[in-house]
Amino acid sequence: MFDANVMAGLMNVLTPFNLLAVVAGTAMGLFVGAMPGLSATMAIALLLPLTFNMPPATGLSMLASLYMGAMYGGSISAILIRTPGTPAAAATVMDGFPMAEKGQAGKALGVSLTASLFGGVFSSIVLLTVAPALGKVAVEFGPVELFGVAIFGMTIIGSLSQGSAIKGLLSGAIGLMLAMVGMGPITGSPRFTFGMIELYSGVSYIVALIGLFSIPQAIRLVEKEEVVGKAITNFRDRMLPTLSELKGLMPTILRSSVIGTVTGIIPGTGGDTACWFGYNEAKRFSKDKDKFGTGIPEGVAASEAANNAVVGGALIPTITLGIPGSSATAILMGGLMVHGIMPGPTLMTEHAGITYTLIWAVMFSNVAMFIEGLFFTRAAIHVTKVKNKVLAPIIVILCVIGAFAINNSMFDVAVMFLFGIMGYFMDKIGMPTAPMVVGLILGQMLDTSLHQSLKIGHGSLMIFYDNRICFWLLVLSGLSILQATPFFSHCKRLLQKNQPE
Amino acid sequence: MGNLAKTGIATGLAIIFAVGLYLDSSKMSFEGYLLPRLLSAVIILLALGMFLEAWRCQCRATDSECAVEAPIDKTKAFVFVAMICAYIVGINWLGYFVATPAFIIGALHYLKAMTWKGTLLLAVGFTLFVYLLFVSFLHLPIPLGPME
Repeated sequence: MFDANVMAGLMNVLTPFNLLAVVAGTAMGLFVGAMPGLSATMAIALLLPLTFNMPPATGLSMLASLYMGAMYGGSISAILIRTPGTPAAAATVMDGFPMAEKGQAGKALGVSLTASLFGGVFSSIVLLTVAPALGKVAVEFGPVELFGVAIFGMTIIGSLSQGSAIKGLLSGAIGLMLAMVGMGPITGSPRFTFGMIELYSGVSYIVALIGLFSIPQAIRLVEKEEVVGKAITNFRDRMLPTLSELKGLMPTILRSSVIGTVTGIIPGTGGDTACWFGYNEAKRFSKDKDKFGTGIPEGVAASEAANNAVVGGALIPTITLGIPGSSATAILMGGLMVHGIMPGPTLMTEHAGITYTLIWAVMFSNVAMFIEGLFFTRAAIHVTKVKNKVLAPIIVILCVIGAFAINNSMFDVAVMFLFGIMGYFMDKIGMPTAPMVVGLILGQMLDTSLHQSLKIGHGSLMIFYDNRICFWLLVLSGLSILQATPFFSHCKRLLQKNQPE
Repeated sequence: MGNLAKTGIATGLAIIFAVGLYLDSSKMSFEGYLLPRLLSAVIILLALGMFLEAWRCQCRATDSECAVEAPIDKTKAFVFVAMICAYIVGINWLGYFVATPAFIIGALHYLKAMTWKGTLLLAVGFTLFVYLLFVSFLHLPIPLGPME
C-alpha cells in the first residue's frame, strides 16, 4: 500500500502545476532568504494565505519549496555582506565572508549551493524512508497514545527552545490555553468566547502565526538602525567546485547532512542550531582546525549541508506524529489544517496522496534550488541591498491582506495585530513564539484525547500508566522538563566535579 | 526598563490571564473545564518560575543571559505601530485603494527610507501588485471598503 502511495506522490508532483509550484516556491525562498531582514519562517507565514485557493498538494509543495530555497538564499547575504539572510546561515558567515574577501565569492556560493543540494537530498531520502515506517507505527495510535504524543511534543518544543526553557514552556502553555477558546470538542458548548460570535470557531492559528511571526519582525526592522558594513557586490570566479574539490568536501558534507537531519527530527531545534552543530563538528574532525574561520570551503559546506538537511528531518515528526520539528514546519502544519487536514498519524493513510506529494516536492525542490541557484544567485545579490525600512511596511500590508483573506473578516485582522504586538513583547523578554503556535495547533487534540482516554479508563488516571507508549512518552516529557531546570545543571556540575582528571 | 521589571509585568499579565480564564471556567461542565483549569495552574507556576529565573539572573550580573541589548529607537517603533493601527482602521473605512498607498507613503516618508519619487512609485506599484495577485490571480477577498 505504501509503495503505491510513494509512486502516486511521485506522479502527482510531476504534474506541470505542482512542478511550477515547486520551482516558484524555491525561487521565492531563494530571494527572500537572501534579504537579511526576512526569515524563512516569516516568508512561509506570509505566503500561506496565497495557497488557500490552491489544491492542498500544490500549496504545501510551494510552502515546503520556499523553506528549502530560503535555506540556501540565507547563505548569499552571509557570504557577500557578512549578514546571514536567515538565522540558519549564521555559521556560514564564519568562512563564507573571508572567502569572498579573498576573491572567492563565487566559489563560496558554489560550495554552499552544492552542500545545500547534498544536505537537502540526504534528508529527503531519510524523510522518504523513515516517515512511512514511522507512520505505520503511528497509525495504530489511539487517544491515550495521542495524549502522550501531544504532551511530549509540547514539553520538548518548550524545553528545547532557544533561551530559557521556562519561557518556552510558558509560551506553549499559553498557546494551549488559547486553543481552548471556542466550542468545546467534547461538550459542544462555547468556552471563553465572552459573548463574541467570532470566537465561537476558536482563535485561528493561521491568523495567530501570521501575526506572531511577521508583525514583530516588521517592528524590529524599523526600531534598529541599519548598519551598512563591508560588502562584496559582485563575483567573477567559477561557482561550482571541481570534482576533486567535491571529493575532498564529501566527508564534511555527509557528516553535516546526518547532523542536520537528526537535529531537524528533534522538535524545537532548527537550522540555526544545526548550522553551528555541523560547523563545530567539521572543525573538531578537521586536521587543520586553525584554518576554520579564515575562509575555507569546508566551513561553508559544513554549515550549509546541515541547515538544508534540517528541512527533511523536521518534516518527519511533523508528518508522522503531528509534532513540528521547527517553527517553519509549525506553519506548514497550519497549511495542512487550512485545507482541513489534521496533522498526525492519519496523514500517511487518509491523506497519503497529499503527504507523499509533499515529500517528493521536498526532494525536487533540492534540484530546483540547485538549478535556480546557478542561474539566479547573481540576481539575488541585488535583493541583499533592499533597505529594511522599505521591507517593513510591505510586510505589514501582506499581513493585513493575508489575515483578511482567510475569512473575509476584519476581526481576524485585529486578532492578527494583537498577536503581533504580543509576539513583539514576547521577543523583548526572550520568550519564543513557536511553542505558542504549536500549543494552538495541539490544544484541541490534547483536550479531545484527554477526555477520550479518561472515558476509556473509566475516569482513572492509571490509563496513562497502563499504556506503555503513553507512559514512556510522559516519562520522556518529564525528563525534557527536568533537563531544563537548575537541578539538572547542578547534577551535571556535581558529576563533572567527581570525574577523575 | 530593566529585564526584571519587564519580566515582572509579563508574569503579572500571565497570572491575570490564567486566573481570569480559571474563574470564567466556573460555569462549565467537568469536560469543559478540566484541561483549562489544569493549564491555568501550569501557567501560574511557570510565570512565577520565569520571574524567579529573571530575579536570579539579576543577582548574578555576569550571567550571559542578562546581556545588554543593542540600542533601539523606541519612538520610531511606537510611531510605526500607531501607523499600523491607523492602517487597519483606515482600510476598513476608506478601503484598500486609499489606505494602502497612504500607509506606504506615510511609513516610508517617516522612516526616510526612499526618495519621494521612489516612494510614490512603490506605493502605486505595490498596491496594484497585491490587488492583482490576491483578487485577479488567486481570487481571494481584500477589504475594498466603499468600493465593495
